[in-house]
Amino acid sequence: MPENPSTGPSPKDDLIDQLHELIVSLTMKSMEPQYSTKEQNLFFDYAKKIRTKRIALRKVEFDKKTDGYREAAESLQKVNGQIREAIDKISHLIQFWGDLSSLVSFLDKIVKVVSVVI
Amino acid sequence: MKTIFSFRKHAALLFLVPVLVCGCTSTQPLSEPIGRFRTATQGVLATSKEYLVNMNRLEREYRFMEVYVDRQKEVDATTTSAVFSAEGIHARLKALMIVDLYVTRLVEIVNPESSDRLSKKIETFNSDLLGLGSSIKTMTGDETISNYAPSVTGLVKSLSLIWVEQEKKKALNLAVTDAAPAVDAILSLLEDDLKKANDDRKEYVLIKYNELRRTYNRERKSLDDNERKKRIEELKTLYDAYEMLCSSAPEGVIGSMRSAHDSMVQMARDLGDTHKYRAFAGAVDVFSARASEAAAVYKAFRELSK
Repeated sequence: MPENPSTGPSPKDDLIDQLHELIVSLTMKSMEPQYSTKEQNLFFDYAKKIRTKRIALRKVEFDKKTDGYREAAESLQKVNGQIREAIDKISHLIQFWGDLSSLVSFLDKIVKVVSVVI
Repeated sequence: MKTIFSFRKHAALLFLVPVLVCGCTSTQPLSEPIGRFRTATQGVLATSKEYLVNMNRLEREYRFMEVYVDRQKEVDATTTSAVFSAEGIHARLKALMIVDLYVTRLVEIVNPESSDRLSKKIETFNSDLLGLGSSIKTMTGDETISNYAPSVTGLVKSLSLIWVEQEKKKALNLAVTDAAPAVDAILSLLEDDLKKANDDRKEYVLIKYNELRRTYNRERKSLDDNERKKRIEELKTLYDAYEMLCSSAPEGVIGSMRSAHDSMVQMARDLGDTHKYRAFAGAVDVFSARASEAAAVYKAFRELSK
């Protein structure tokens, strides 16, 4: 399978992670008593505004990665089909001996019938 | 009689040599670690599904919370609209289902039951053949089948079991080698998705905690003791949930699943190598432990969020 460009981390991914750190940091700061209520509110408002932007980026990134999932799933589905064939090959051998056994048993019955008739 | 004895002796040698050559790397010992790999995988996939299907619900809850704290905001279509597309979630769930199917088939390949079933079928064939030989002997006096059947079926049984073992090894090698890039790609994407979904969750819980904390601090003087106690309990539960999310990293479990799968690929390429087998069994131990831990943390978080 060709390497999928959508599987590796992109600069946008890094930005999403950095924004997350910033949101947590600003929210935590807004709880610290050394800041005035006004400053606390400001930190928290920024945190919420940044979260809105971060979720918008998450949406774009989520849709971009969907194709990566689809391609990889399709490729794995093909391998699953090949594995099924290999498992079936083994099952057929087991079935073959079962069928052969039934045939021999049937032949035995015929021989017994023929020996009674003769 | 001497000829028959001689044939039996050589027949025994004929199947003994391939058994010694090929039988030493049986797939049978793999059934236990691959079985544990599957159990851990199923747990991880179930937790991952929960994360994925609840992503939109979480964002909706966040928006309702925004509406609640800001009287200027109205509840409209944007409050309830989904952030993450249904197609995207479906593609992810389908990929998880295909990974589950892949691991299930690996278990099927190394399942020792197929060799047992084959042995039993050949033994049944042997007794049917002996029955036929006995009937022919009664009718014609010919003892050929009765004399040769046990040796021939013994040889056939051994060769068939060797063939099945070889087919299993081939199938396992093909399976993990061909599947490796796709499995790795899915797990890599999932690892990142879960990290970000967990971060979304952390932000939601922390912001909700802060909103409720601010409301409490503003209104605390006007609240009676019961109401104060109730709100403090709520704040405490939310902060516990936040800490729990910080201490758990669901993407780490996917990392250990990738390591275990990678060890399995290495082992399948060289089934006779005991070091690779041990490395795989060890990686499965780590993966199983992390999967159980992650499931326990997720369950505890769900209980706290109720």
